[in-house]
Amino acid sequence: MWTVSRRSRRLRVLLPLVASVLLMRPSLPAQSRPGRVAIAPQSTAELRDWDQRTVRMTRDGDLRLRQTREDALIPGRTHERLDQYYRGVRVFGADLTRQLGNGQAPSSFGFIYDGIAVDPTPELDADAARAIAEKQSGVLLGPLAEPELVVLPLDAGGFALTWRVRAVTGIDIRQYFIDARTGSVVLEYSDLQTQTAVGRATGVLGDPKKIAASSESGRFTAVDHLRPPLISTYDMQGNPSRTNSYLNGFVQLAPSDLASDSDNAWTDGAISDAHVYAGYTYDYYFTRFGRKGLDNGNIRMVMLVHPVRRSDFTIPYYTQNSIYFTNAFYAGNGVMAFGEGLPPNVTLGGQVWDFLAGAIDVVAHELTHGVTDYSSRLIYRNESGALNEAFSDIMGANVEFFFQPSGSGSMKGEYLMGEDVVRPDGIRSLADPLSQGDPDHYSRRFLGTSDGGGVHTNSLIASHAYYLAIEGGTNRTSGLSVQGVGAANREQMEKVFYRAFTQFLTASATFSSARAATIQAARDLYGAGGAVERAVTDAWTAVGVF
Amino acid sequence: MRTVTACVLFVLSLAVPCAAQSAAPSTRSGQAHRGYVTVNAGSQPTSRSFSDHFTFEQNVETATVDLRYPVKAAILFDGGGGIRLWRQFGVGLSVSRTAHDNAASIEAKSPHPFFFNQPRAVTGTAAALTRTETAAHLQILYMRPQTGHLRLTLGAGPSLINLEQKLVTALHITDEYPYDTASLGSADTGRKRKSAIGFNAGADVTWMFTRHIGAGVLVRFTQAHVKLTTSDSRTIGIDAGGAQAGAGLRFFF
Repeated sequence: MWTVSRRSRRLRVLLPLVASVLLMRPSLPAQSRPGRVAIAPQSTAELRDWDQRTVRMTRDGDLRLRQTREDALIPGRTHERLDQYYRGVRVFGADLTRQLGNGQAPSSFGFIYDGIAVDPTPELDADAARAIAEKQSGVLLGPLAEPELVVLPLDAGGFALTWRVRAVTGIDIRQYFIDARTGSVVLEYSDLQTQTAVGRATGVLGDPKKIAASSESGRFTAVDHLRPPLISTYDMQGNPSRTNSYLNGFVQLAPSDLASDSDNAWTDGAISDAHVYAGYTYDYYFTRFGRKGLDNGNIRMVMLVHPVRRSDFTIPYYTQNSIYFTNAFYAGNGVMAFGEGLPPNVTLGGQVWDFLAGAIDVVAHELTHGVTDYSSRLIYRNESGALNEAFSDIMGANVEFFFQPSGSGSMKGEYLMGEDVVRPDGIRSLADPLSQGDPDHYSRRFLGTSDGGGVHTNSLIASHAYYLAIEGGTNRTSGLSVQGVGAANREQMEKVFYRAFTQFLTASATFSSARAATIQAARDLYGAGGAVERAVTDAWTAVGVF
Repeated sequence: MRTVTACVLFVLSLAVPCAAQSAAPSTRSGQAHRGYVTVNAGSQPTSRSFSDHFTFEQNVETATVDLRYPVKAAILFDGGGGIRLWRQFGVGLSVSRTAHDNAASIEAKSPHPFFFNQPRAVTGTAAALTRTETAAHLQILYMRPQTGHLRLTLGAGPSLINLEQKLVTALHITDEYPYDTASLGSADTGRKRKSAIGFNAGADVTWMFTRHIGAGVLVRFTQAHVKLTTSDSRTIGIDAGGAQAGAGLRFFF
């Protein structure tokens, strides 16, 4: 009895001590990040300390009351939310909640930051930040979309003074944090809750492929969240007027315009191929050159498919809407449109025209116009326009070789443009331009004014030089032979032309300046006087460009 | 564990009346023991492994996972007893338990999100996969008469082995653009248990300090093939048991 009694007394003394020791353990941050302080007081003493600190910080302006709510469940209690500010600028993601009742604070939770050291004066104003967000998102932001100046805690530690801009794009809600000094996008993420869903798709040619879609609201949409830029494909439902209105800036596309599928087994070949091949093209540029999309800043990519319906085809209708049947084009700001092709019983120039999006080189060609738009800005007329077209054909062929096995026929890497959907023989031949009626030599160039001064036909002079620089051979007009670097070394020439066309050429470039730029690029990358430089030089000489 | 306890009680209920009826052969020292109790600690040094394979859907293809679970040496605790029934023959029952943590090696093929037939190899390990074996060994014993201080007991019989094993049940694979490689994020594990009947055979050598107390060495081989069924109805065949060696005290009566 004595022992039990004594033990009880001991327990009565020890338990509060043990409990207080346990409760006094320091609050641990949920995630370790330098400067981040977790607020989770567990003892009365800690709670009192935090409450005093909260009052002090509020008095100093480092905490500002954002919200007060009555407790609906416990009468007499209120809940406050306070944001942390640093020298008058809100610290993004730094806030705390405080429960109040009977003059006390029973609980407090949250995260704040210590050790902030940034100059709170922006060098970039809000309008400039808004313009950057507009460029990034591709949507115009109204005056009510006011950027907010915030101190952004960086994941790697440290802080940045940024403008926070929210842009609703119609298919996504993007949060941009733009450095208030440099204008660079420090952080960008989607505020829209969707789920990425890889699906199955069947292309125009009946080929199976995977498609990066999104699952939302019980359907699957052609929105690719797996790649860094937002890639979305819209089904224009055979409505050329609406397509025109969108391209001319009269209407915005809505989420209901997104191409969609009920079971993520996509059977519309044009939609599937446009969406998938746009992703492939991004992959090629990223893998081969480290380029992040059209603007090297992961600008969104928008594909427009089915601008018309084949079933609506008549000669007058075609005449009125031909660009939506037998054409594909880059419309600026990351927007591409792909023609519907022609009904199976209709031919043009003796060729069958399938859905233009069904050819990977066509998709890559159009997207490369976007790359040019954000790099050299080659003016789309005369020689600079021909170089613009040539670069798109060259990259179109490169993407085709990158993803498809070399050979001839359907879905093979070769030097015909659009051969998978414009059958037979495609629309241009880099290997043998004369076979399609295009010049293979500068002396044969088109000197008229149509087609912007022959931007398409004259492009073959440059793209044929590219072919010769890789594969070698003899130019049919000059009779000059070239020893190419060989198909096994294709990557060398891809890098030479990419470097020259995106970093050296300017808006009014000529064939001659393209020759000089590619030679310089070859020297930069593979050394002066080497096989690569020799192949490039000889190729340009063979096509009569000096 | 309930099964093992039942076996112990069953064997003892059989053995004790039989022992009372049997004639006790005299040992060289003229002293006859009716039975004994042993307590041992030791090791189950057998090193073996088993494997598992499962698949799951990922990126509209099938991801495959191959697992190899090495089973390394484990600490053994063993206790039991025996009763002499007739001349040098008797029955015995012992209970052993081993427990240890192992790490499984993981080799998975994770389908690429963009392309068919371009799986990414994923390798890694899942640690702290606890394995315990609790076994009841029923033995027919041959108790060789004591020679000087030495006693030798041979035994063999059926074993009931209960295996409890933590298994990898799912993988969480992480990747990021361009997704050409993938890595193991984490592995989910689950505990499965099942019993199987196998066999055992072994010997016990004891050095008697006194008339009733000695120290001995136990060597035994036991094995049972246990088929664990996972939550997705996969069956994994695992060999439980192995060579066991231990040493401890012996109490004769």
